[in-house]
Amino acid sequence: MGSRFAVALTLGACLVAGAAVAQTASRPSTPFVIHSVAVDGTERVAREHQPLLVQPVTSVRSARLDAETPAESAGWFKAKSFPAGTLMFGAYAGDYWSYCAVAESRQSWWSADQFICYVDEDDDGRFDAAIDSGEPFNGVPLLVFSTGERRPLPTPAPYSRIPLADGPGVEYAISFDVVRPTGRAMLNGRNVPRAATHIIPSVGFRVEGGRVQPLSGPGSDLRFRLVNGQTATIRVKGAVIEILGVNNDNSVRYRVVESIPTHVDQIMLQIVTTTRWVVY
Amino acid sequence: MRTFIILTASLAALLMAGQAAAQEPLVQEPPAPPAPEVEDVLTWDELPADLRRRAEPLIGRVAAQAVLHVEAPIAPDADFRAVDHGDVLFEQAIRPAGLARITRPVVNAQKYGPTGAALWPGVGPDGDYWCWRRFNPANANARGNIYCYQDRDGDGTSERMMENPVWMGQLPASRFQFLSLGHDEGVEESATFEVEPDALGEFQEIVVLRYYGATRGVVKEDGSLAPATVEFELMTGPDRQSLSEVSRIRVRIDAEGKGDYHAPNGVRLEVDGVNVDGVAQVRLLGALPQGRTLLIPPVTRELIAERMAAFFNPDGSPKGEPADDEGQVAAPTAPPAT
Repeated sequence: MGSRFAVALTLGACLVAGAAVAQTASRPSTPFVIHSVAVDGTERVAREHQPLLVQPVTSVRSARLDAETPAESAGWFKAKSFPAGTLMFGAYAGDYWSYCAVAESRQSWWSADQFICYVDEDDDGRFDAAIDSGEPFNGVPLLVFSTGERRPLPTPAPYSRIPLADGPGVEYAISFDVVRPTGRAMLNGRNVPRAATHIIPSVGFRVEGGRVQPLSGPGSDLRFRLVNGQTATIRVKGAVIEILGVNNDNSVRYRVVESIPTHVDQIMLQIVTTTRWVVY
Repeated sequence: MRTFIILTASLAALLMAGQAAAQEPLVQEPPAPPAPEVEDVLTWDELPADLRRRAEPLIGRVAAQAVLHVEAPIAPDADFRAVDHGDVLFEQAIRPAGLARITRPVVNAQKYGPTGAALWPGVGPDGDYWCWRRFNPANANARGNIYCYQDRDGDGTSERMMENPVWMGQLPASRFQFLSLGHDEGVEESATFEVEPDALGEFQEIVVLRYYGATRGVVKEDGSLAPATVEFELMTGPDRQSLSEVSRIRVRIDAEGKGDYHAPNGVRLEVDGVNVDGVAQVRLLGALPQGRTLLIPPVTRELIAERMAAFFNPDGSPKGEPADDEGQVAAPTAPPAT
């Protein structure tokens, strides 16, 4: 009996030791505008995972600093104030707007860039308080996840609202993956990849290094069949892109017929943390 | 049916025209207004059978929540008003809709409620409850779990006790409201309680409808959005600084920039245009009714059919336009460095 109990206890301990609980914190992004771009129908070539189409994105509200902000403590090795003329994007946090700029790290190997967001509490055209708002979400300097404590500014900083298209922006892009069956094929006595079957577009924000951070959710699993392994028409978020040919290295020849129309959009920002219980 | 409606509408128009002519025979009347355009409406029976089968268990099911008493009604707007992000469209004072006191507690009364403790009414999918929560008088923010006594037959004796742990915090700002009953606490004893007729609970809180903004929409040349989606937040809590969201109201704006919304809890809205920066023209047509009410009334077949009208034609066939890409999420990220 004692031995059976011990085995059960040990098993239980193993289970507890291995138990991990994932928690998801999520919040909606501030609505943003994806701006359409002019297309000329020119044939182009893009490598796999590189953008077929890039469009600017701004917040639905933006502002420009009219005077330098007072010196701020924004953490170690980060810019502590912003000069007049700095463009700021609007971030909506439930019941108030703030306008944010990125305090760039001067020691990027050691600490990351950080948002500083300013609030005009009495709506008099001058910022009265500042908030350290964490790092750009997923590296996108338009997506604010954290909202910290407000710190009153020693002196108010005047600002002006600016037109939508003049606001600081990031880039939204459509990139792609080519799907091929595994295995090999022969062409004129040479090994070649088997014919591609589908092309999968992925849409998302473009981050440092040109990568596209793909967005998940409804519509993100679209795949388009390649006719004769070569041609397809991609239709995603209102954009129309003709794939004219697929090369053996998975690069494609393509033509943009229509860009994503100018529209307001919003995404959900999620942070998943895992709690692991360890018995010792 | 459609023919009948058209005939009825046409007849009504004819009668109205005739009446006007009889009242003012010497004045040349403008042409009679055209008969109102009749539009088929999707009904429950026209929904796909699979969807009906899945939705049927929800019909009449009431969500877990406190039963509220709304102190005063809100007068509807006479005209549209411009609203910006965060603007409050209405605020209504609420209290628990009833009061009972424990006459015989269960063991561990300090935890579950002592003799004389004031209970407030709650409801859930399995019936009615009387709920209690321990507060620390020295610290208004310190609050315990919510314990709800189920009294299926209304005889003043509980048959089951539910524990809604404070850490679940569906409405963390509220002192008495909840969106879950939690779990069966497994207390075998029964408590007894006495209802005080016509008395209301002691807590005073507010329900607020707040404008969130436009979250989707095609930008037109004049800077307006259409079609679009604008959102409102139905919130509750002790005051405006401490509110929790009960539900998110999404109003679809059509290609002409117009949209409307009505909910079984009485909230009715009309939208006439929204700009790219989110400022919208909104008319509040209804809020919570005065007296005993629920923030989340039971689901009805009519409500499901109405909500499904965005996806199905009145004959039950799916609408051609694919569902838009609402709900896109950025790839989850690791927690930010602190």
